[in-house]
Amino acid sequence: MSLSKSRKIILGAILLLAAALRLYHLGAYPPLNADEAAIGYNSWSLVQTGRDEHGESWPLHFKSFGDYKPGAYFYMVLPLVKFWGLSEWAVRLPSALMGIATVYLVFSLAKLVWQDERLGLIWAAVLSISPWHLHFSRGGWESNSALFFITLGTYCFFKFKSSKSTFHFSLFTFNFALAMYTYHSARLITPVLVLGLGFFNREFLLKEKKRLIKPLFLVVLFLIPLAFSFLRGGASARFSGVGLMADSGPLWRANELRGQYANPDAWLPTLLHNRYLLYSISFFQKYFSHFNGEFLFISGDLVPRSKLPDMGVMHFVEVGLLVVGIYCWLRSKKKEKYLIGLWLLVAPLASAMTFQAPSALRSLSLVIPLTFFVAFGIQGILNSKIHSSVFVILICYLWCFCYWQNQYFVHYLKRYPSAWPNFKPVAKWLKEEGDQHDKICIMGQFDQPYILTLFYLQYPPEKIQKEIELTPPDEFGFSTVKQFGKYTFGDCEGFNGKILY
Amino acid sequence: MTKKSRLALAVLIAVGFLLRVWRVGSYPPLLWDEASLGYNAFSILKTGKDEYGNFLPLIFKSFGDYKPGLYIYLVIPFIKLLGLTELAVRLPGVILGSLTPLVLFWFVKEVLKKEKLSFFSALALAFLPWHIHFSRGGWEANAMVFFLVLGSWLFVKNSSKLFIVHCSLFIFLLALWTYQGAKMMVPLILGGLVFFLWPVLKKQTKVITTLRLPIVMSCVMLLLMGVWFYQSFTGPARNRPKAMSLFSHQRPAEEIKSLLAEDNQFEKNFHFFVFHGEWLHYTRCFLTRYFNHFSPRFLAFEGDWASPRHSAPYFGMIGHLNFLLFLFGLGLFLREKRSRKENLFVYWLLIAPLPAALSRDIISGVRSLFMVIPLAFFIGYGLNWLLKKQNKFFFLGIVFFLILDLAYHQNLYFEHMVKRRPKDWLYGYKETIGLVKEKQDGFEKVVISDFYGQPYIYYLFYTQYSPEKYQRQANLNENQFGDVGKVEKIDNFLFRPISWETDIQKEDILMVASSEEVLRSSLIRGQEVYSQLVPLAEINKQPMFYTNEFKQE
Repeated sequence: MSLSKSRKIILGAILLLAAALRLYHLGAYPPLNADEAAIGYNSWSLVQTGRDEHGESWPLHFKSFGDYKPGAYFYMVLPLVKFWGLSEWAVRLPSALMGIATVYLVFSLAKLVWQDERLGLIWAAVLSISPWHLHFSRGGWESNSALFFITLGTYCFFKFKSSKSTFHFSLFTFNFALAMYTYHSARLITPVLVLGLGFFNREFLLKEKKRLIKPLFLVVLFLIPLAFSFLRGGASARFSGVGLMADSGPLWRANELRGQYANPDAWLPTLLHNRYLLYSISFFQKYFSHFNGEFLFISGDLVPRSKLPDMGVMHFVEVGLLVVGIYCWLRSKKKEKYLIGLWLLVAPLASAMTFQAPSALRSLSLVIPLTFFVAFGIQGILNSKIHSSVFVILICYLWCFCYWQNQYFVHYLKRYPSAWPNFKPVAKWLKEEGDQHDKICIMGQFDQPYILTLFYLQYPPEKIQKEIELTPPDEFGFSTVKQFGKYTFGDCEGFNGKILY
Repeated sequence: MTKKSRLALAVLIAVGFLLRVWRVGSYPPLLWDEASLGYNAFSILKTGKDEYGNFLPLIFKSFGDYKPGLYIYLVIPFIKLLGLTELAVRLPGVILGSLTPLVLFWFVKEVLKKEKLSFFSALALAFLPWHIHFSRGGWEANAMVFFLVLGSWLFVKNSSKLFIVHCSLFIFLLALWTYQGAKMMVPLILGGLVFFLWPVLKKQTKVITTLRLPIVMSCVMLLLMGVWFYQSFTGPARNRPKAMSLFSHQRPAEEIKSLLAEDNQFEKNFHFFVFHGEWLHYTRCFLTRYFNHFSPRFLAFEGDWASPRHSAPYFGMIGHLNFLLFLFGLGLFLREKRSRKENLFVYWLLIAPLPAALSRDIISGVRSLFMVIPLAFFIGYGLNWLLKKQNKFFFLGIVFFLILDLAYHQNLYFEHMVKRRPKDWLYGYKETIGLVKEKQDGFEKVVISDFYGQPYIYYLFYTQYSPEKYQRQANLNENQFGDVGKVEKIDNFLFRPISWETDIQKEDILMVASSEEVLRSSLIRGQEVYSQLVPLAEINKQPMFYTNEFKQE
């Protein structure tokens, strides 16, 4: 089935739009953050010396700030850093490209699964300007590349279903495994998604089971190093830092409620108000918080780095479209309809396991089912043949888009200056005048300033590998470096030398 | 209806009644509004006039919030029977609340003609924590919900009988007279009924137009409603909706200034209007509130987080499993093919949070109370489907967990709700007023702190103060912002903040201070403040009040 010419043009235009929005000023806006600098510098360090900043050779998890970042994205950045040198573009380009590719993928997915090109085009268009997807495509966010692999894997699964080729099945498993190498939350989401897909296609898969054993065996082999690295590399420390238990709210709640009895340790208070029950309830509350209209449309995430001011993760006009879309989806008789529902229910699972919810970053894969519903809603309206409504939707989208770009490019950094502090001027000064001073202390609002200094000064990796010394982890499990070479960070009181504010 | 189903329904209503009436005379503590409703009813009963000496008013001035009066008239017979007690004030609410599931049963049966589904809807409502909570007290909103469902049922029921249509309009008129929020709900519901039942009504209009008198009657009813609206938007009561409205709270000037600064603008211009205009601000405020009422946080996990008086702590308005069942039922309902009139329930679900979403509070469990009806319907729909399509054991398992969830709610409600927030629940007024009444002799003045709000009404209520005597001296200092006012003096009783310089040393003043005031002054004056005072009304190891007297006990 080939595309008609006009549809090719439309698809091209959508991809062009997606690319323009994801690549425009990518190197400079927003300024590089500490995680991205860590990705860039560690890849560069690997290129130069074969070891990361802590002297670990070719790790699967990068120790970085003691948070053991999953390694796949580092290795994607690596070739760019090798040929292009250490720059913001090199760190961000893979994510942006995968964002653009995801837009194309949803079109292909709709075409493959439902043989519906129009739906695919609408879906791609909606995803291309989705504030949620744009936000995390513009920057070295591992979450976004994991989403790409999950989408690609899902596409390969359905390709396998139609072609019955083992090759496609291997691609499916391989992509899902790659997603697990890329991002923490994918490690929970992908297995559940696989189980779900397996459940809904059990008859088909059982018929083919003989051919599938070999690829499955291979993917398990492929995942073994990940499992070892994960268990070795402070995985439990990371989880206790940002996991569900890091939120002490339910514990206090249990104590408070128990304290209201004459005897807090009697059987009834113990049975009703214990931390196990309260933490389970907390899990479900966090899970469902991702479906809250306020999160989706009004205020978005809690963390300034993952949110835009005065808007949610979706456009305002999508309030209505989402409702219409869910309604049409409930009524539709499409085959493979379960896919979207499954994805919708699975996506917030990992995010619900952490201390802070709703989180737009950790539940990024929700953007796929939600934009699907919006697209489905638009298609439902198109089918109802109310032509004026198309016009109205377009006008609303135009306004929403302008609103987004105003919020993103004009208001964002001014409203949350500490979310993306710009280190570049500091780096410039250090390069130009830093030589004149023997000791330099950098104060200020920067998060992990040491890595930004390393990144922008292109500090020799051999040197830092010897000098690096992490502080003990804070309450969330993050460490930092207070001092290396002639640079000191943070507390400059009583410092003898040049102080930068 | 078979005998068996009638019996089941009777048992259901009886159990629902038990849940609502259990300990209702003593728990939770009486709230300001309930005390005011009770005392005004008492005053009408004794003198025919309200606390301010107005003869049989339709709208009661009360604290300056101008309460629609029907609930007060409903309380009068109970006060006649039981005297001025908490139970008497609350019984009308308990009874109307217990009967609402029955009326919902009739209504659903009339619209959908499915008896099992109607039964499950009634079941869900009878055991819905949200509805139980507001049935246990003199909440006017709860009475309104009853009248709205009753009116809708009569409207749907065989509309060709004009007498019944008139009854229905009359009931809607009563609903208007019960609660402020009804001014929005009644037109919305009446309009909805006409719209969704239009195919049915159209046939009947032919019958109706042949008769002149009924049309005149209907017009009179609608005219009365119009007069009511006119009055409430022009009379002294008009400030109340205005003070409560979302639109009377403007953005702070600093916010506008910082937005302009971010845009590098100096004054509001077209760009500002398009991207940051008031229209957008109010839309966002409205949507936030509207979404809040459908949020899992509100329905399943935390309840009304703006007011601890509206729900049990750490528990949603409908509970965890009910929330899932609601989503499930709604999904099933939308999936199926429906007739026009069946969509009424979806419409109700969508309009029910509107009065709350248009008011200033970020969330309100009482203004959105009508949501219980559509919620109960969809929960019932889910249950009904499960019973029909699933294995009996699975269904029984669900019911078992529903009961556990309700039991958990009851534990939080009875054991923790007041203990956790005694100040919000106004714990201690009853005990304190009782003690003061005993000990007041020999004091020239009694000063009671107004820290918790409206102490005068508790004084009137718990001392059964003679209404004739009060009417002569009633003087409400009205609040200039349209919120509730204050009464500062009855005889030698003063209701005002404690002033530590003058009140505490004098021998002839009996003083009752709130624990907060004592805490604050002890921070300034040191710990010896405590040694001079006697704690009163202890709850959860904390006293609510302190007094300077009766140390000998």
